[in-house]
Amino acid sequence: MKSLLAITALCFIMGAVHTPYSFAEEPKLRRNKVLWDAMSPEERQRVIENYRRWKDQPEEKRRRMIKNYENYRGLSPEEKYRLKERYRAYQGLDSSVRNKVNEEINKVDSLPPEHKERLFRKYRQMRGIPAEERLKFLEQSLFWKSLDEREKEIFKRLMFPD
Amino acid sequence: MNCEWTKDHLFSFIDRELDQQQERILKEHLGVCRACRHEYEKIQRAWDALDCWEDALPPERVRKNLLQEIRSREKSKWLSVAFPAAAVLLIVAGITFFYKSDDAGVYRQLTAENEKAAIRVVKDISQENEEDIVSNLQLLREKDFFDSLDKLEKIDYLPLVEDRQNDSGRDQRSSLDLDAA
Repeated sequence: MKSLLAITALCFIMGAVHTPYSFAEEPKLRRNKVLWDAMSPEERQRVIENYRRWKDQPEEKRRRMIKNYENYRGLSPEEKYRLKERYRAYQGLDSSVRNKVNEEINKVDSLPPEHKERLFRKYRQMRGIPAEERLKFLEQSLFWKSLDEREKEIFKRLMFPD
Repeated sequence: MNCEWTKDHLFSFIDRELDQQQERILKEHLGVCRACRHEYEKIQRAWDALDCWEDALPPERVRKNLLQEIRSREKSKWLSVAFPAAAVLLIVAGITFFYKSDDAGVYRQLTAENEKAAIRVVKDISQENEEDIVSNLQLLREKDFFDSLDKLEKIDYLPLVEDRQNDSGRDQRSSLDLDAA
């Protein structure tokens, strides 16, 4: 009996090793396969184009995108919704405003590591604060005071899309 | 029996169509009524005169004309039905053909486009790694979104960016003093 169980377990492990995907990934893959098979030729073509563009990117950028995707999967539905809405608002910006937004975003990237660390800590503290209070904090910030009225409207829409 | 009844039945009497009783009554009336007898004699004479006539065939020309007239009338009668029917059929066939050919054209065009697209996609899939695409499908469907996601998240950090002009020394200014909060 024991040997039978051992053989079964061994087969199970070998099967897991030889399949291209892990067991945890299997339901996702099955769902993706169904989605892929049901796609229209146009949609498939678009995905293939995206795949090519993704493959053409440097390895680091590709990994960053996968990380973004994994982070997104871990978010709550409300946070996912907020980011999607923010993306829509961002996409709707004209190029000059988008440049300004990117410029502001780049400030975060250019911070020295210790400042970044402090910033992330503050952000973690702030995440639990309700939107109304966060808005008050925002209005007191130096960043906010540096914006003109139009920019304030744009950033308000980006920060609180809902 | 009055004169009116008698006059109405004179022709039947001559043709011997009356029954015995009617015939007897009529004969009795003719015996006593001079006006009716006179009427009877007049009809009888005209009847006898008809017997003298001979049946003659119409001239060939008249017969031909008559037959031609009958045929043309029959023909025109047929045409008067056939023409509108043909016109209606022609219109219906025209409309049907127009729409059929139009539909068929659109269908052919769409089918050709779909076939082309399908062939192109199949060709593309054979060139690429389908497994790789399927395993990253969610990501690839919204590539641009996931590409800019970390950037979009950084918007939340902006109010927390410290004033870098004053970031040296102890007077480091934070836009939000959350540590104190």
